[in-house]
Amino acid sequence: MSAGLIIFLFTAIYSLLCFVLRHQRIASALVAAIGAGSIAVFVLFVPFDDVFLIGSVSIKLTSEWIILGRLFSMSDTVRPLIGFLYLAGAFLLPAAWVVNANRYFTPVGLLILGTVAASLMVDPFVFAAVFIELAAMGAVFILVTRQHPRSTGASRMLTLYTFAMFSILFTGSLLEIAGITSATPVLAIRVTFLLGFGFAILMTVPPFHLWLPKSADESDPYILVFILVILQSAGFFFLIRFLDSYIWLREQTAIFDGIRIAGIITTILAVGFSASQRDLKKLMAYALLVDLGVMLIAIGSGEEAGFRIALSLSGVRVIALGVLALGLSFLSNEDLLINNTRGMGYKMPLASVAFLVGLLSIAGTPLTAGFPGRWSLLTVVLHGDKLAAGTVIFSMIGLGVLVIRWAAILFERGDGEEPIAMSHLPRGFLLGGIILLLLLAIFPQFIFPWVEDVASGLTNLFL
Amino acid sequence: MILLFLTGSALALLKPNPKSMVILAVQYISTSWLAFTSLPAAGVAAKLITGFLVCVILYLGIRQIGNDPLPMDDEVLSANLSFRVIALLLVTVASVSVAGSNLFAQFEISMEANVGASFLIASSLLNLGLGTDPLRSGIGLLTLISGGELIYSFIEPSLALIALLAMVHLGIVLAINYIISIRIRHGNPEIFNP
Repeated sequence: MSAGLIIFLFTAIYSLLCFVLRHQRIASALVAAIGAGSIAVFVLFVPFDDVFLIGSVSIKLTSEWIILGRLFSMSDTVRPLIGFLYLAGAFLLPAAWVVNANRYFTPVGLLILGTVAASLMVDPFVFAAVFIELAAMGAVFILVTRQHPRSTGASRMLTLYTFAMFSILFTGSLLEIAGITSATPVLAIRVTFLLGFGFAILMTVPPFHLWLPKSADESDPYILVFILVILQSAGFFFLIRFLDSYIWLREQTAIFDGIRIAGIITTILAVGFSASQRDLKKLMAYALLVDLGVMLIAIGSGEEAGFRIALSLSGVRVIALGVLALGLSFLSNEDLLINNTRGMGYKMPLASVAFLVGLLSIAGTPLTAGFPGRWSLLTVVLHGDKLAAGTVIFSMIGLGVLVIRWAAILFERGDGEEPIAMSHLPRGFLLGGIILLLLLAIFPQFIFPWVEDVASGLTNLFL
Repeated sequence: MILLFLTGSALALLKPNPKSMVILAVQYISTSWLAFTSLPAAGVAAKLITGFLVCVILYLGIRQIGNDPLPMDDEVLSANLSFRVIALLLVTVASVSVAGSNLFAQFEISMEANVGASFLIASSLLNLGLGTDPLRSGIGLLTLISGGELIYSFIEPSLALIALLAMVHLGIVLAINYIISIRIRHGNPEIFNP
C-alpha cells in the first residue's frame, strides 16, 4: 500500500468523523487533533519502501502512488513539510470548540490539510498550484459562514488564487518546455514576472493582500489564522522547492533581490498599516504581514542560513499566531456583545495577555518565541545589509510600541469592569499557549531538528 | 470562435441571472470545440460534461434569486450598459492584440484558440472588475479558467490535468453557490451597505 493513499484515506476518514460529530464540538475537535497528529507522526516517523514488522506481520509501504498517470511521491524532500502541516493542524484545530468556531471548521480544515499535502506530493510539482487553488476553495466554506455571511474577502482570495494558479502553471511549462537559460533574456524576464506574480499572490505580498484585512473584518479570526498559516506555508514551501529545482532561478541574483525588496516593502507597509488600525482583527492581519515580510527578507538574503531562519520562523509563527488568534477570538466574541476594547483586559485578562504575548512574539521581542529567529537573522545573515537589517529592527520596535499602546487600551481603568467568567479548559488553552511561546524563547533549538530535516531534503538549496 | 465572442460579450454585458446559464453552457461548448485540435476526444467529452455540470449546479443554486440582484450588485460601481459596451470594446481590442503578439510562441497553439482564449480571459477580467456580486464574480472566474485551460490544453494535453481543472471548475461553482445561499439565508441587508 502506498503512503500517499493512506494519508488521503485517513484524512478523509477523520474529516468524515468530524463532520458526523459536528454538533459535539469537543468530540469533533479531539478527533481532528488526534487525526492530524497521528498522520503527522505517520509521515515523519514510519519508514517507507522498507519492510518492517508489526507483531508478526511484515508490512511494506511504498512512497509512490500513481493516479491518472500522475505520481504522488512521499519523498524525503516533502515528508518534513507535510509532517509540519499536519502538526500545525493538530496544534490549531483542537481549540476550535474553545473559540466556538463554525462547526464545519474541523472537517473542512482537515480536507484543506489533505489538499495542501497533495500539492506537496504531486509530480511534476508545478501542478501543486492547482491543489493550492483547491485548498483556497475549501477555505471559502469556513471563512463565509452563517455567523459571518459577508464574502468580499473570500471572493477576492478565490480570484487571486485562480490568477496565481495559471501564472505558476504557465511558468512551470515555460521552464520545462521552453528551456530558460541566461541566453534567453526575453523569456527569462517573462518567466520571472509570471513567477513573481504567482508567488506574490500565494504569499499575500502587497498589493495582493487586499483580501486579508477584508477577511479579518468579515470572518472568524481563528479560522482566518488557520487558513493563512496553511496557505502561506504551502506557498512558502512551493517557493523553496521551485528555487531548489531550477538552477537558473538560483543563479539569478535579481530574483533574490526582488524577494528581499518585496520583504522590505511588505514589512514597512504592514507596520505602518498596523499603527493606523483601531480594530484588533485588522491589526492581527497586518501583524501577520509583518511576519511574512521578515520571512521574505530572510529568503531574499539568498544564503543558506537565511533559508534556515525562514523555515524556523515559519515553524514558530504557527504557535505565535495560534495564541494571538485564540486570545483575539475571546476578545471579539460577538456572543458576549463586546464592542469596546477599553478596559477589556480586566474583563478577560488571560485572553488579553494571550493576544499581547502572541503579538510580542510576532514582533520578535526578547523573551518570546519570535526573538531567536530575528536575532539570528540580524546577526548571522543581515550584518552586511543595512537596509534589510534596519527594516527588521523597525518592525520589532514598531510592533513592540503597538503592543504597549494596545496594552494601555486593554488595561485602561474604567467603571464596572467585572471579569467575565471563563471555564477551566479555555483558560488552560490560553495559559498553555502563553507558556509555550515563552518556553520556545528559552529553548529555540526545539524547532531545529525539523529545519534540518527540511534542509536535508532540499539538496540543491542547502548544499 | 465567433460563438466565444458572442457568449463572452453577452455574459459581460447582461446582468447575471439564471438564464445566463444557457449562455455559459454555449460558451463551454465553443471552448470544447476549440480544444478539439489539442485534446483527445475523451478529454473534450470530459470538458463538456464538466461544463454542463457547472451550469446545472449554478442554475440550481441561483434559481431562488431569479432576476433580483444580490446585495452589493454592480450598481454600486455605476457600471451601466454604455460603460460596459465601451469597456468590452476596449478589452476585445486588447485581447486580439495580445493574441497576435506571440506571447506563447514557444508552444504550438492554434490562432483560433489563442484569440478565443485571450478574449475569454479579457472578458472574465471585465466581469471580475465590474461588480462585487458573487454571481458575476463566479461567472468571471469560470470564464477565466476556461480561457486559461484552453491555452494550457495545447501545452499539457494530459487527462490528469483535465481532471484537476474539472475539479477546479466544480469547486468554484460549489463555492459560489455556497456564498450565494449563505447570503440569501443569513445575509442582513444592513451589513452589505458599502
